[in-house]
Amino acid sequence: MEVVFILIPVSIVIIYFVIASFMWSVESDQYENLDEEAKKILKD
Amino acid sequence: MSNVNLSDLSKADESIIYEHLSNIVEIKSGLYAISFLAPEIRCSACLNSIKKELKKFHLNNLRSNLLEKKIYFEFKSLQTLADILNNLTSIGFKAAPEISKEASQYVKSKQKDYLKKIGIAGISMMQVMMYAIATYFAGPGGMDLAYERLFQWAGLIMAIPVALYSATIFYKGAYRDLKNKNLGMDVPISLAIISGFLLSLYTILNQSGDVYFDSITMFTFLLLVGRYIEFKTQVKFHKTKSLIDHLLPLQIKLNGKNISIHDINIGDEFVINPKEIFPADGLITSGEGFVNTSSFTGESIPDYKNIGSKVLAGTTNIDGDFKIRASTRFNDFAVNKISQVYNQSIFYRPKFSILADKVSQYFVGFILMFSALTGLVWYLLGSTEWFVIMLTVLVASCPCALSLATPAAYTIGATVLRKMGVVISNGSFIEKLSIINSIVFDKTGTLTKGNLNITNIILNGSQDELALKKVASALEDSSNHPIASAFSTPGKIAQNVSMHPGNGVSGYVDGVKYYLGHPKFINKDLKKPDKDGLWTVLYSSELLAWFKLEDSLRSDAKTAIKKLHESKLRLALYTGDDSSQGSMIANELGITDFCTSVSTEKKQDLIMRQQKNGFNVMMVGDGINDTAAMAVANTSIAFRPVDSFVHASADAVMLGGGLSNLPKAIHFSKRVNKTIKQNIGWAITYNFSVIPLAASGIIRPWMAALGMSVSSILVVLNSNKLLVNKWK
Repeated sequence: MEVVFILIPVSIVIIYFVIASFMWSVESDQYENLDEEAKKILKD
Repeated sequence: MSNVNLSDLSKADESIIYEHLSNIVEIKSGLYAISFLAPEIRCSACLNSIKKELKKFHLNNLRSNLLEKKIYFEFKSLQTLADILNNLTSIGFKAAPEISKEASQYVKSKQKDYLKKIGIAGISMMQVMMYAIATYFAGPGGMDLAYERLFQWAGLIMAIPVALYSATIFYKGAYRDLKNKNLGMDVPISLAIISGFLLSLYTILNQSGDVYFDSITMFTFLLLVGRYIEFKTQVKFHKTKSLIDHLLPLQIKLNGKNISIHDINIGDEFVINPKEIFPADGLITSGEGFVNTSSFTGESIPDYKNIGSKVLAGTTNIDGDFKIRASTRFNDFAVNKISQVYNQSIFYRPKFSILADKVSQYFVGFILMFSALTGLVWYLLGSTEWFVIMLTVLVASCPCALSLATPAAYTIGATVLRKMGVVISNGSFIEKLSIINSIVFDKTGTLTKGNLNITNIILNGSQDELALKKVASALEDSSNHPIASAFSTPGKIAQNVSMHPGNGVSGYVDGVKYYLGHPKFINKDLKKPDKDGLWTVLYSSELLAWFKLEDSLRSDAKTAIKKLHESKLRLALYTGDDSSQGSMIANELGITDFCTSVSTEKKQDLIMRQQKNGFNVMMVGDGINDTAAMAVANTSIAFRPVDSFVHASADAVMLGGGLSNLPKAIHFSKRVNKTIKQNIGWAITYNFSVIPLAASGIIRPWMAALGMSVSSILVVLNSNKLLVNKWK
């Protein structure tokens, strides 16, 4: 089970990467208008 | 407002006030009113800090709305206002102008901020929970120390962004509360997060004891979600608000220049083309034609206006080429008065809410003491769990739900009523409406359709009625004028039809030229056969026929009245005029208490007599002659009021919609009251049942966090239930 000593730090690195991409997605207005995309196909 | 003299102020003060200029209203000379948003308000304690600060200035009519984060007060000089706004900024509540770019930008950035904080808290919470569950499954001593330490360190690394970033919303709030010597909700929340984090850190460094990273991350996440939902409901409300924006153009042309409607001066002259909206209350100086007042009053029969007639901002020109002269400034527009009255009613807080807020202030003090005491007792009893239990009590007992109970339901109730066309001007209207058991209608006007029909024809020649109807219908066939709908007998076709705005139509039918329209169109001195009603005349080489166009009973009146009867309401019709139409309508609808030629005093007297017999009376009226009756009635609705005085004296105004909305509104008000009671009942039950459980150590901190957030969310959701369209 010694492998968890590698896997846990790896999971933390991955999660921090996830957090960073989430922050980026909010900052770049991707959650600004969640309804729009659904309506787009109806508008045409 | 534009006539404020800012030159006496310092540059800094001037720029502060300038932001709010459009929201300052001069009530009378030397007395102003302002309303603005204070977006940092989160709880009743924040409001108390603001009120404490404002008390120093001895202001009149201070009102505030917790849920909308709005403040309203009256003040005497601009220097005072500048001082107030500066002081509010210094205690941490920067005023934002209402419905402005700044406010909407603020909402946007706040939303992003929430999203980021919730996202991080959520991701971290799941991760920390995974590490924690590993140690939970192993049980005490079931895992090698090295592994346990690994999971503890991993938990710490994942909890750091939560404690240092996501939870800062609560720290800021707590700091502000303490600085202003208030005990707000954020104080115990911050205390719980910070002490939980520090204690866990201490555990790791000393290699003994438990860590609580799972509890604090979950606590933060759930609380943030609760705050975010609260925030979202407020934004929803703001979006459906401005009556002025809805009815009036923001900019209008004056002498070729674009000016704001706020800058209209008395005497300004405007040209209003057909289909345009009147931008100001004023008098017509040239032109004649029909004006549609329906957006304003619900009355769909067009009004005939000519030189000297009064028009209101927000009404629409149908076919006239008008010139108008503004007779008042923006502040005195009838539509602005309605809007202001509505805005004031938003500040109203039913008495429950105020009580709930006071209770919650003492409650926070009590929680802090009680949780400290609980911790001490468990510590003395030798429990290793003393800290967790203390934490749980702290978390479990926040009375957030209690202070949200009334404003949440009331604010949403007012929004829904507005969508039904009922604009509340007296805040107690919803409560009063829910207990009425008698309705008095004034005039037949409120019960009729608002569509014109031919109710009388006077023939003036040899031609028969049907043939003339066919001719008239042919002439009006291509017209979209509201009058045209009354003529609907098919059979003939007109040629070369031309419209004469404000007068009528002319055209050829079967080779003969006909004119149809206002008596003046035919001959200036032509007298109507009867003073009342809208008479239209058909003419070719001689006068052929008079058509009397009248309103008839609303199609929904019968069902509406039937529904009101079914709800065991006592109905009465007291009308001032003595037309025969009134008694016919009363008979048709089955209203037995019916009086004609009732004077204003008599109307009041009849209502008071009902009240003596134990009735809670609602007056439904539409004119100045009803205002006295409205004043004595328990509550009142003004139907299609044209005069600003009428809606000021009624508890609510019925703008669009119609009679069928009345039973709906009554039914709905009962739901609002029920919701408020449910909310308060739930909040009190929750708080009082969870504290003993927390103190006895039965529930874990994360359960407490979940319970607290869920109880607040339940209150908001329960109120949101009012938005569901059950009143159909």
